[in-house]
Amino acid sequence: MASQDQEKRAANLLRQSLRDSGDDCPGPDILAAYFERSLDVEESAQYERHLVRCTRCREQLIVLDRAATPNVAGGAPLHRPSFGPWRWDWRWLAPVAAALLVAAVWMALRPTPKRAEKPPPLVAMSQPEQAPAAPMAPESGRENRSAPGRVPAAESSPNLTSDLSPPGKPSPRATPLPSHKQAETDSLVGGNASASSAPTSENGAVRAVGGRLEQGATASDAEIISREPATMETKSQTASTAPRVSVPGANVALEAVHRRSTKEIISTPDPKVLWRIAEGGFVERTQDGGVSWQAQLSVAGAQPAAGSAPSETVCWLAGRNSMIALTTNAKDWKRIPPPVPADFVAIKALDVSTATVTTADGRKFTTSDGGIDWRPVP
Amino acid sequence: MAPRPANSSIEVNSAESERASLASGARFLGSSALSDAIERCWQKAAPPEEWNLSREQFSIALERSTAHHFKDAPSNDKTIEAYLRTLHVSDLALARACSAGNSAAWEFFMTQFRPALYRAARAVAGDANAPELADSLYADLYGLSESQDRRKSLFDYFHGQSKLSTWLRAVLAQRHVDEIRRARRMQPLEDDARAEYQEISTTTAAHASANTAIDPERARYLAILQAALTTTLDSLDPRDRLRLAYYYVDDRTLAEIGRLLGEHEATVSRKLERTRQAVRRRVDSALREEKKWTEAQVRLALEYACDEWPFDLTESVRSTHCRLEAAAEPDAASAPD
Repeated sequence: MASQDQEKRAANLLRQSLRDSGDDCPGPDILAAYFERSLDVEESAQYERHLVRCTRCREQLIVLDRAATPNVAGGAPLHRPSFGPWRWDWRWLAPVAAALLVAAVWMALRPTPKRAEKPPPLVAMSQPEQAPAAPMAPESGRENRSAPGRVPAAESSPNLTSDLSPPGKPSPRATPLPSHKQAETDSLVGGNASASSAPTSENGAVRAVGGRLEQGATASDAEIISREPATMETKSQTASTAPRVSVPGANVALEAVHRRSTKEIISTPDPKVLWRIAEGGFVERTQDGGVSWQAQLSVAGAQPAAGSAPSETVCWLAGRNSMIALTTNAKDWKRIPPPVPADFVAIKALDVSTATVTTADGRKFTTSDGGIDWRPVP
Repeated sequence: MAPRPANSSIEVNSAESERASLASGARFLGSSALSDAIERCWQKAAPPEEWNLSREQFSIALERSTAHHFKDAPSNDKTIEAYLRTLHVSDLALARACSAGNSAAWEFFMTQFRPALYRAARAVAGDANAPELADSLYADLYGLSESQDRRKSLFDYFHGQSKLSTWLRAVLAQRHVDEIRRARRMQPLEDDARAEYQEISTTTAAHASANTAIDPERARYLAILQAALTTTLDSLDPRDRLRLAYYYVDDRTLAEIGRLLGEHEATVSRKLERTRQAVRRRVDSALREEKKWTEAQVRLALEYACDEWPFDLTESVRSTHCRLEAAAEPDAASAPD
């Protein structure tokens, strides 16, 4: 049975035999979990038994793959490397967590290497008026939400300062961790991260399409619609004030990485008021000596390198890719045109108008009018 | 325009009713042994204060997720705890807060997920159709008002088994595929195509009839072959069978199959060939050893099966009044000579 004709016949037979069975299709949660390889072995096998007989689900998986995989010229998608073990067993993380802890401690003892970064748009965050939080919680109970089985350190490492989308609203108590959120965004576009713009209004973004939910729902979703009424939050509810504590084990190493990710503390004349430059282009401010921090600024795709705060409300920042920024009211930042295109590594400010920046190659420039004009310092 | 909770009066569920909901509905997570696991999930999720997500609300989300996962399957505290450990609880917290209409959570979602959601829609549906696909999903995520005081959000159907970003893509993929399939079914035949279709039908019926006249045992050959093939395919490892389906039914390339299965292209090729040979061997063995067919009969059956035939083999067999069940019965005495 080796002839081409017989091969063709065999192929036709197989095609006809691998027909749809018409079983009920699982919902998008199973599809997504399967795609991520986060179903256990039994669940995966069960889903694959369904996939074998269901063209609809296979088509969905193919489309999902297409959405996740960047295309090369000609439309042929790139080959995606396999993820590794099927079973996402947390016990396998133990040696990984140990290695992570060692790496984190080692990284804490040496300076962070600089990385090339794209020119950043400046995205200032408006800081909501809020009282400092109650008791300080240790930084971060927020885990790195990479898929189980993957090494989480790669997403939390201070070296990983990839292009970042503007941050959301971090907790005043927890250290914001944009890198894992960026990992989420990266995965949605197949790893092709780019600095997304600040939220903009989109005309027609929400249309009453009426019935779309039911149209798109699967049989299992329909069951859920009927038996699980949505519950709503009331604005009068108070959020939980239970102190957050670190989760031991795998998160310990991540915590160390998060803590270590703060690069520089910028002092002011008031010891209770500090700014700090955190990893990922974040700048934060505290008014209670570090008990709580409020995110002030996110410079997408860039990393401030240094700062100088001549008062509690005035702070200058300087960093790579010609970044110089200034706030005069402790919350609103503006970009200052640089004296020259350069990476700035230091800044010293006397007041809101007077500052001196130092470039990576040692040149100094000073301004006395808030950055309108700069002159080189001999 | 970015959606916002238009009116706080829409979000009327009180803390008391939520707690009652949790108590009455905590079929899976009511055990005290799981309270530590729930607490760990809560600490791990660590939702920002401004999301206004209470521990009770989060616990309800966990209960729903657990109930959805286990449904009628047996479960105990250990399996439930293991399941809880696998959840993407931060995303679950965000989904829950967005479902409840919290502005800060929505703002976070819009910043972190919305741009990528639209890019994924473009990758799935192309530039022309992407806005509609993404907008409709976005509207369902926000929730359409069903009554004065309740709003149902698509976020309620996210259970944390995957990352939220992947789940959003999966919903996009499902909707897109369903739309395509719906369009396929609804597409009216052009007059020429309709005529051609009818001609094929007529020709096929005539063909089948003629073939049966030539060899009355043709249908029986086909049925036995089909049964042997079906049994063999059913006995394959699901992954091997899935690989065949991707290749023969979906016409996927080796590279695409590799991505879908997490295998290298060369591995796909090798395993496909291995599976094909295994299928061939087993079908051959079933026909020769179980049905006592000769080499000539096997070849003849394959020829019958692989004639140019536009419809499904099973349908053609049924149309000639030969039931698979009867053909699958062991009947060596009446087997074709």
